Amino acid sequence: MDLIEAKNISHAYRGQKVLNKISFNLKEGSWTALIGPNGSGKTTLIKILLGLLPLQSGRLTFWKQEHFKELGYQEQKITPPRLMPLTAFEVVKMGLLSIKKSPKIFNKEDIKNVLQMMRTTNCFQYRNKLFTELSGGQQQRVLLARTLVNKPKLIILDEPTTALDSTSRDSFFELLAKLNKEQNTTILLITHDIAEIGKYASDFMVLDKELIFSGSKEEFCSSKAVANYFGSYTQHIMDHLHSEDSCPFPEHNHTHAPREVK
Amino acid sequence: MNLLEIFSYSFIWQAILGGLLIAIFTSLIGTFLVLKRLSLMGDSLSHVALSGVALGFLTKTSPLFVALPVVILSALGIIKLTKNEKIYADSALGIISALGIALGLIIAAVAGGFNIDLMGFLFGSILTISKAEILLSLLLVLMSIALVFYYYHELVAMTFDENFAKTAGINTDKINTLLIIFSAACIVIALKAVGIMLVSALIIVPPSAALQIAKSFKQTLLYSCLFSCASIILGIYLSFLLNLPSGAVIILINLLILFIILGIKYAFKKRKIA
Repeated sequence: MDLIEAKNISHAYRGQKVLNKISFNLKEGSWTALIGPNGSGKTTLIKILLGLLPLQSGRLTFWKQEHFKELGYQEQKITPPRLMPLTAFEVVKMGLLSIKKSPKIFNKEDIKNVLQMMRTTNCFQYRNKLFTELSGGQQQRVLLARTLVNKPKLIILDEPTTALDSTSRDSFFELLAKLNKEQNTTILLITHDIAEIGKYASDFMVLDKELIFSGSKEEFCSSKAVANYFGSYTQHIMDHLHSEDSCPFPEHNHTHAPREVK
Repeated sequence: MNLLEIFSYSFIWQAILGGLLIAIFTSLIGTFLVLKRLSLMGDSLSHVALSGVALGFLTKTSPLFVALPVVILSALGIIKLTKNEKIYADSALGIISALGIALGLIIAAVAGGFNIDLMGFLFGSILTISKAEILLSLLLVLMSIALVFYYYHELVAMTFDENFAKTAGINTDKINTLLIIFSAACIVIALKAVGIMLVSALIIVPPSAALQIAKSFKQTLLYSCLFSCASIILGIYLSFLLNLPSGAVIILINLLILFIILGIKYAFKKRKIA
């Protein structure tokens, strides 16, 4: 089953086209890595999918109308009011709002689920601290707990690991992999970290205002469009996707989208 | 005069009752406005209220009842202007503010200039609050409590992270519009207590003080209400006792509370570092 079906999505800011006729299907249970250089329209595309930006042209079909109840979304960084008096626990609890009717009242089971998710994402120890007083990495863990607490069928993540250290990043991806495998959770992840995501993603989308490629990891590795687009970096990427333990770029642990590599 | 004698006057009790209702209303709505960085909305809309009040004097109807729809419509106008970023939010507030003052001055001039009644609205005259105005305040307070209770989690989520709130299926446009309408009503009602010149302070200062010490959102709402109510009671008492303008005394007490809290916080921080 396709969770999202996008047909010919285009978008422009003040007449400047940032997305041009993007079509793709997001299969249930897939883990799709959305890659592309800065300014390629990745975040714009995700914001259109989430309804944060209007659909200017094209067609977008979700697997059901009230899909937001089974959707988890995490931005790279959020900027809440500096004096916002909310604890990490309350922020995670917010993740349950999509499945509650107004006036939203939380029961004991909800509280239990929130605390359990905080343990799973390793942020239980600072549950009573104010969110705004946490470090960037701690905040990202709390936000991940908020994203996952309503047990979403589809998780959309926009560079969610930028503030995490390598150990936290590994456990972050392992947790997502577990959800993907055991609960058939569908994942759409924007990343520049091709080295890391190659271990997990089942599908790839390469975007640079136009959709350069969309398909499975195997198709990605043999795609001429990908080879043409990445040029001399193609072999590095392919080598890396086949060999999960080593990084093809000397003196770096993580690769980036090719146009940013100097 | 005996220090407690002023409480034997019925109009004092009427002023305290009206003032407390206004304090609760402004604290509840003001907390969201401050955190959403919409503090200047109060300033802008208070200027618009001048037009409404002047229109009330011109048409010889109750100024507050005329100002209420005028300010609500202006607030909706600000939303319309800022939607899709056609005009920056602070520019839209400046435009509406200028329009409000310009129209207000012209209407006031046509209505017979700045008389003592209009001055009462400029600087506040809580002691002259009428029973109809108290009833209006009560109605609005009950409605604002219902709004905050019913949409509490949505309002908090929207204040914290509006994008997340939208993706969680919360109708942020509807709740934001409701909040802005209530803010407009809040400003009009608070005119009676502190006047057009100081109304935004009553909306901004108590939540700002509460945010310095509160450890949760509910605590912020509670402390904000407490500070505001205390300033109203003390302000009415002192202004009557010392024959000073009530609006100015109320705001100065609020500012004093804020500065004391900031001072204590600063001292604690210094001690911690040492």
